[in-house]
Amino acid sequence: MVRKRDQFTAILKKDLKLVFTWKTILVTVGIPFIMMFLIIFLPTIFIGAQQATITICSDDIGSDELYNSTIININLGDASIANIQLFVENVSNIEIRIVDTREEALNASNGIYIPANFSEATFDGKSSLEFHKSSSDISIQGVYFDQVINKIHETAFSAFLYLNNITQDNIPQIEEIFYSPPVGEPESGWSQATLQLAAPFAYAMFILITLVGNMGRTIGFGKEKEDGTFETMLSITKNRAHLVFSKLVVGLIASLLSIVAYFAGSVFAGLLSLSVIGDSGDSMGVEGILALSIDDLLSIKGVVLLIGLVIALVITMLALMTVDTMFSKTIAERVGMTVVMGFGLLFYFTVAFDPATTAPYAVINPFYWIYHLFLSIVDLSFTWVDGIYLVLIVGLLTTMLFLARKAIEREKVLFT
Amino acid sequence: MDDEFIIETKELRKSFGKKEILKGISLHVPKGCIYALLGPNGAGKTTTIRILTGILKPTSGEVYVLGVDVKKNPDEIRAEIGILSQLSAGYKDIKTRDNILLFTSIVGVDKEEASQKMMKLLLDLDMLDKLDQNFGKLSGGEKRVINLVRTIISSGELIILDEPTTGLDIARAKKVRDIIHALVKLDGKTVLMSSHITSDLEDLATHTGILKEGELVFEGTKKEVIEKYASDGDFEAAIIRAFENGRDFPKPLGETFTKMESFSDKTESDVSENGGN
Repeated sequence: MVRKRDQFTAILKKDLKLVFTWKTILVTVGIPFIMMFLIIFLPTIFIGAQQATITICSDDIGSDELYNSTIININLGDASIANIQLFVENVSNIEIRIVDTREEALNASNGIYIPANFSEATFDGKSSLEFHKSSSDISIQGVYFDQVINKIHETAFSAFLYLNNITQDNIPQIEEIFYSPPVGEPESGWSQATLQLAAPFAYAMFILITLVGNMGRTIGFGKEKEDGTFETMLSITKNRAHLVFSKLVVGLIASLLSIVAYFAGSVFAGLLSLSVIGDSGDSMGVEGILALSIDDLLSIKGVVLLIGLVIALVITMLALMTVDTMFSKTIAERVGMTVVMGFGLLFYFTVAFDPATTAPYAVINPFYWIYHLFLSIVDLSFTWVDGIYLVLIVGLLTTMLFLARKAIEREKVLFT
Repeated sequence: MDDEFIIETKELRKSFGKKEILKGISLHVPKGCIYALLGPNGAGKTTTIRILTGILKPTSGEVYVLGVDVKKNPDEIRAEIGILSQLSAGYKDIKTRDNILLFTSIVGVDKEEASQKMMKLLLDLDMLDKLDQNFGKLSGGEKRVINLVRTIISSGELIILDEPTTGLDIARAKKVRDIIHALVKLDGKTVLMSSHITSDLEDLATHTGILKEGELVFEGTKKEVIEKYASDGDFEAAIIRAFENGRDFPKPLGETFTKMESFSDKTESDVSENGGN
């Protein structure tokens, strides 16, 4: 007599074998990789040829500094603009537009504002400038914008080092403050850094939900019903819960592979984009606004977000599996994907327009619960609302597992 | 329950909604026999088999298989019986060999042992060349045979076959019948097989149960059905008459079989001449 535990191992091996066929590998790994590669790389080719306009306003009044026993006035704002203009002389598709007011600069698509005390504050050790960047990090405009910002740093550092003859141990710090226009400004407790992770996190979740939704049909009970193996499995499995758990474990493994392929594709495309649009050495991180950067991926933040993605995919798989066991094959195929895609689309378009939304139609969505909870963890700003989302996520997972477990014992599942 | 019977049901009923599919059937399958469960499509054969194998729960009545109360403990019976369902089940995208071995590993058959049995059976069936083909590429009949091979390897003492020869060509159906015969005669197994093709079972069955619209209208040995319904010895004609005459049993239920020798103690000629009695 076969032991139940041994049977689970055999069932798991069977399900793994079904996943690692060429067809499912293509869906699990190939498509996420190729898709992200194309999504990141193709726009680079098209956008790469477009003109980049960067608007700058400097109100810097300069600072009187002592140099060789003489007081001289140094204006880092003007010097930076001169340095930038020198830089763009050799780059055909960058246009620098100098404007007179802060509003003009910061309301432009890509603008930089250098404040009046910029030089003085820089020589005191810490200054700041404001910028507004609407171009994607993967676009040529985004890359050039970063390079122009770096020219300002470069100008300030050069002057500082020149005047003080100091080492890098006490170089001044310039804080970059991201400016968001007042209209649609998010009401969020999250920091700017966390908000910048929101878009790639939401996008990754949406794309992976779509992919795993399709994969779920390949490795789920729907496929077993189609192949006629479902009745046989029901008749030889001592503990039918093993059928559910095995599919879940395999779904988890396949989800992880999809996530890895997704990010590998985006990073690879990002690096290739750099070689196409040219890297002058000043800017990295062109993995894109749609993908997490390598630095973020390899940090604790990246790990937390990956766990969030895995949970989103487990919920997707479990939802499809529960529907598979509760309804007929025909209904399950329609209902399962419709529900998953409906919630996925609603989630993505909700947060795409406003990453910090708390709209009622957003908070009823399980994918939003995961999105909010894990971004809050990354932000270290876990609130009671996130506590509720955590309870809802655990409750949803438990309920679906319970339903799938119970539904597989129902006779109806066999005949439909 | 009686130890003489490997399968025994008492007043077994099964309804789906308001429709009663099984109307109180009492089966008695002795050890070491080939029991043919006969009846037209929709008579309740597959439902009976699904209850015996723990897939479906009966609405009422008792079911004992291999000494297990299937109604109370369906988990215990699963994986202990070789079951061939009506479907040509298999994973289309993986090789035939893997299809067989995956299922046999789930019921706990050692891989080496399963491989050896698989090779022998497929050699007998002239299907060794199909082993490395994807299951999805096989014809309907070939899939059916592969399912049978998997069922035989997975089986313990009891094998239940739901219409095993449906869809097979004459030559292959004959080979399948020979294998089933050998399983009982040489390996001492018990086979319950359903069919709506009476001629298919003529040379094979030792015992017969005839289902008609959810009722067991006849149960007895092959000899008994022939003696009662066909003086000319025509098995097929006897089955048809038994079916038409409705509920009729040669002796009180169960009594017939308790006094019988098991099929495995008989020669093939005994079986065909005496109907296994």
